[in-house]
Amino acid sequence: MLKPVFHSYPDIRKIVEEYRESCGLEEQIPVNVEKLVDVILKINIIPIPSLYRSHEINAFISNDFKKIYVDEYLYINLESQYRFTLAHELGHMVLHGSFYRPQRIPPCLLRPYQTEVKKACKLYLNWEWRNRSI
Amino acid sequence: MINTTFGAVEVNNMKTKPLFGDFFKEKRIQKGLTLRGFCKAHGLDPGNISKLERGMLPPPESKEKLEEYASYLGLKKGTDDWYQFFDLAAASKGIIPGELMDNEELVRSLPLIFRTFRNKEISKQQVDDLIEKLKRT
Repeated sequence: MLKPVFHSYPDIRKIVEEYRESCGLEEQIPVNVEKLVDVILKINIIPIPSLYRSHEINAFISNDFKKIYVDEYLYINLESQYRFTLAHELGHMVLHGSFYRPQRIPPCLLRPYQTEVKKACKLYLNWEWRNRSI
Repeated sequence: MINTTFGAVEVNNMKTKPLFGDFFKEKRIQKGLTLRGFCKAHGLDPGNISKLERGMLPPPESKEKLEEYASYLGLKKGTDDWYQFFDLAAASKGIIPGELMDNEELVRSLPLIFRTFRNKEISKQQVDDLIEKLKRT
């Protein structure tokens, strides 16, 4: 079994910024995360009715990184939170993809990685806020 | 398994064949539209369109509905993409496209085509007749 690799805050910032620059999205604020996931990466975004109400989960990514399941209410009604949620799920792929892929471990089972992805999303939001035109 | 440009399909799979869905998604993405944006623009249910794209729902039965979807995807009537859209919809449902079934001569020659698919030999004369019929179609 592979040993999990954990990243420092500066590492996370570097990985996230490199990925954002290389992923082929046009420069715009806010970053169009949904277009990145759906149109560029061609990951299926699948709305699930009552996902949060039944399981207290907003979203999860499949371990082959081909599908992101999202609570339908969030998907339709809460756009900002939906974008953040997509960025979070994408974070699992960008930060820890090389660990999950060969082992077929569902991302939701690794709590420390959840924390790292949250850090990445926080950095992403800070970056977006700094670059937002006033 | 049959491999095509738009992915693989299991002939006897319980699921609807995803070829139509793959083509649908490919055309939506070519327009640069997210699933949510596409559905919002045309008043469609994203859950159902997502299922359609993943082959979890069959293409609509009605020709009018299919034409509506084709127009939303920007397919022009009479183009190769237009015919491919309808052919894949028919193939997903295991039927032969309607306008081909309107051609009686072609319908009569279908057993020969099926025979060929099953790798049974057909005579040169039968092949020539079939080619002639197809040319006149």
